[in-house]
Amino acid sequence: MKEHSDLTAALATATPTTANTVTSAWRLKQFKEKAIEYLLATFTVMSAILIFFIMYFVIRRAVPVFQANGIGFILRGGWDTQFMTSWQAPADQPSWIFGALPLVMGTIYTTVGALLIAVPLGLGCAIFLVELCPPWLRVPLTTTVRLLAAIPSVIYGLVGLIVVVPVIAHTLITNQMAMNMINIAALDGTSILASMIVLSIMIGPIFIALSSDALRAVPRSYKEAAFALGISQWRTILKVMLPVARKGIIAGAILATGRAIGEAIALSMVSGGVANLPDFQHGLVFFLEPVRTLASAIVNNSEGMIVSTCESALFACATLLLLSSVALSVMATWVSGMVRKGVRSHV
Amino acid sequence: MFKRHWLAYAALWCSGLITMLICLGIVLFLVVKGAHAISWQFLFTDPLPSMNEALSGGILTPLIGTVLLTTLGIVCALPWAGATAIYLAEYAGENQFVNALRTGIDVLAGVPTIVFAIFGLAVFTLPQMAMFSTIVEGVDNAQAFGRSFLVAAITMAAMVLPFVIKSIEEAIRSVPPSYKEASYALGASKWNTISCVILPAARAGIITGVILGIGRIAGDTAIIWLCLGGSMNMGGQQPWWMPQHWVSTLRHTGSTLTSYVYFSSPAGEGNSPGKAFGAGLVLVVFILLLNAVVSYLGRFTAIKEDQ
Amino acid sequence: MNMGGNASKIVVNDLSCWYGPQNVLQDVSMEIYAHAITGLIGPSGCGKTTFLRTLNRLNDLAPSFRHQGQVLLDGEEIYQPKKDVVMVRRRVGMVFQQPNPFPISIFDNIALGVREQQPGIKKKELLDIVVNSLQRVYLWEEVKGSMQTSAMSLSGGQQQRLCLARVLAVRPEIILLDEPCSSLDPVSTAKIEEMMLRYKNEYTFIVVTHNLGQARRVSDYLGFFLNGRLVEYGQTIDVVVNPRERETEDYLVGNFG
Ligand SMILES: Nc1ncnc2c1ncn2[C@@H]1O[C@H](COP(=O)(O)OP(=O)(O)OP(=O)(O)O)[C@@H](O)[C@H]1O
Ligand SMILES: [Mg+2]
Repeated sequence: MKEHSDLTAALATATPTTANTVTSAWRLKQFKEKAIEYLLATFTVMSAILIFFIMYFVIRRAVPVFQANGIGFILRGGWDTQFMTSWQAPADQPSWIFGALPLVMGTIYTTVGALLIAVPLGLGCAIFLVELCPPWLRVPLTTTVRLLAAIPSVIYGLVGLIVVVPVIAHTLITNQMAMNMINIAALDGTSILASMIVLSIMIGPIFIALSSDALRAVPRSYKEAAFALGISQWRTILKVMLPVARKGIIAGAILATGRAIGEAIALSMVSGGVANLPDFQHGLVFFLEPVRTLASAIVNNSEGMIVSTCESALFACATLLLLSSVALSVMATWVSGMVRKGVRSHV
Repeated sequence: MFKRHWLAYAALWCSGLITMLICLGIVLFLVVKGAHAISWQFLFTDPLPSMNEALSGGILTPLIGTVLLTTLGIVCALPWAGATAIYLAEYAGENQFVNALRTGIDVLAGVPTIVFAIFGLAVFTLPQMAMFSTIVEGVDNAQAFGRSFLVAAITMAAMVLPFVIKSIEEAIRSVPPSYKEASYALGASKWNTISCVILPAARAGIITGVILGIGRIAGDTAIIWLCLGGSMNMGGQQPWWMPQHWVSTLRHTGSTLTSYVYFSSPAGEGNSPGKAFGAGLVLVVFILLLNAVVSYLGRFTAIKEDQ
Repeated sequence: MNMGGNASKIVVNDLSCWYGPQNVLQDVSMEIYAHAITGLIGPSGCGKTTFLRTLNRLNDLAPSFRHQGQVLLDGEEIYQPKKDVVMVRRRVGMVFQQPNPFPISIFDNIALGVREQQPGIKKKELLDIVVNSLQRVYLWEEVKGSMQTSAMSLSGGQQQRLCLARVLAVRPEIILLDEPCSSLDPVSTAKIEEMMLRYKNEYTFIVVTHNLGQARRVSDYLGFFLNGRLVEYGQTIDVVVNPRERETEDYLVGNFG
């Protein structure tokens, strides 16, 4: 770049017909160039520090709740009643007590559950796409994966609510089960299981895209070497391709996790309306219990925004989401940065 | 013994086919459930407040809301994203500072939209931001309501920013260096080269980025729900389409296809799933058309799409 | 015809190959003799690599590949529909032009193939095999202290010898070498040549080379390819000293390629 501007400078000074005007015109031009560069740089810096703006504005409003509850905010339960209390509290006696443990656990359960479905299935699909897919099936398959990624989350929520939830309610939930759980939560199909299914379909495409990229990036020569050693295709995939693509696949899973944690709308539709804390001791019924996640709480409880205590509590939820998404992004760039470095050292 | 990997192969085939079936299933289901809701009347009447599905009107305002919001959002995002992309592709070198900037933008791409939504609310309920939305008196703590088309559009712009930046930057980078060299050889300045040679050459890629941004804005619900509100019709002075009321419309609440779907689904208050599917189908067709345009453009430029 | 008294290991009959519309090999017929080193020479692009890759069916990886004719390994057609490709490749190993060790440790590079072929092999046995094959390529002394470091940290010549050791370790009957020394220093080249000469009674080597000196030094039989045809094939000494075809003579004196 540097030589080019020197070159332009040389061109401009090489034709000094009327020396003075040229220099001043040249100065003006130079000034304009600099001004544009600084303007663009300003925009860039603004894009980059937007994340800090977001942090500042979100965390600032969450501070009162964190101050009032400390670490208890994520260790205590009782969200629904506390929220009701704060909402109804008279303005001169605000209630700042909140415990978001059910939301945190709801987020963890649904996310982990979605990953349990999406990672094996998505990895299988990626391997299929890269290694086994007959040519005629490749275009339809990539198109459908891209389509799945493009469908808006509210549509997933809608389909989940109309299809998945009733199916769970009719086939998996028995009256007996519902009776046993009646004091804990109503089992109506909106559940961890429904959330897992819907979320896994939503995060599947991004994971498939990233892990198939990682698999495609494995040098062909590794595969040929393994074949020439008499290793079968499946063992080559297992022993050579997957280990080599490992970091890219992990980065993909991390990004998919980030998306699962932050999904608000679809989960607010299928996860159930109560901040219930499911218990492993209920056995498999665990999966049929309703939950609420941090993100869907912000949607479902948004009418509480006009009360400052409730508002602050929702901002506290957003803070947890924000910090975990930042952590995941940083982890993903770190891992895939290692991938990039690794690839560079290979070639 | 190694012939016995058929189980693994069967599993791989299954996962590929299951993925396809899920996608086809969802699209077919949407078409079957939504198609009979769609009619000219459905597309061209306003939603009416009624619990009776037969009387609850159509989706005209949500449709217009989606178009309005995507337009506004992308208009806000494009200059900003374009400037950033140009700087990153053409001016920024490779150093610690630039890496930090890139990381900042990458991190932004991972922030959930619900967090953007609540951030938008936090910013636009500030009294200084009252001009973007309408003031509601008597609400505890807040001078401004913080919900309007303007608020939602600006928040959307922030949300799509990292994705648009990325695709424009890639478009600019994929312009052959020979174009640039030819321009410099003619004595053109750097900015002239960028604006007259590089940007036109990267046009298809830039359009791709814009369309991807539009798709994201049109498909988002979280920001709509918090920053635009849950009312079905335009909230400003009526009739909202009169030019003298435009400013008022932009400063008031409204709806889009996504919020209409949410509102009409069993999860919302309207509870007319047939209409929700109709609107959902319209939305998905809109987004599929955008994607078709992208892959059509992608045939001419080797732009890699964002994930 | 049996030119040297060795039994024939591979018999190729009228082999023609195509990549899409491009005809890369035409009517190649040739016998490869057991426990001998067969050299293949010819100008760039004449189809030597293609020929090698037909012998262990690695060309199956190229979707546009097509062939006609027979390739008999110990009298059995390797391209017959029911044939287990993996079994063929276990009998016919290959070393590539570019060193391509796996990005794992030196030890694992060799152990991977052995473990795959002999699942449940004892640790002690495995270690013996690894050490032995590294010794055969004269690499053991150089790496014995760093068996757990990544193979990527070795030099190009060491990497290529590791690739060779990796193939030796799984004991194929035939080893195909595609210009194994083209990017190597003279020392590594000499070590690879020495290995071939020393162990040809255990394996059958087929080596493509651009280096006529190498062909002369190591090979017992020599084939000359030109434009997809096998122009001349015979005992190395005959081909080099007394070529039957004019084209071979031109190539040998350096008129082309
Ligand atoms: N996978 C492939 N797909 C299509 N064409 C190929 C493929 N591999 C090789 N070819 C073509 O086949 C011809 C012969 O190639 P081959 O690699 O066999 O030559 P070679 O004799 O090994 O040359 P060199 O000495 O340069 O390695 C070349 O024209 C090449 O372009
Ligand atoms: Mg070759």
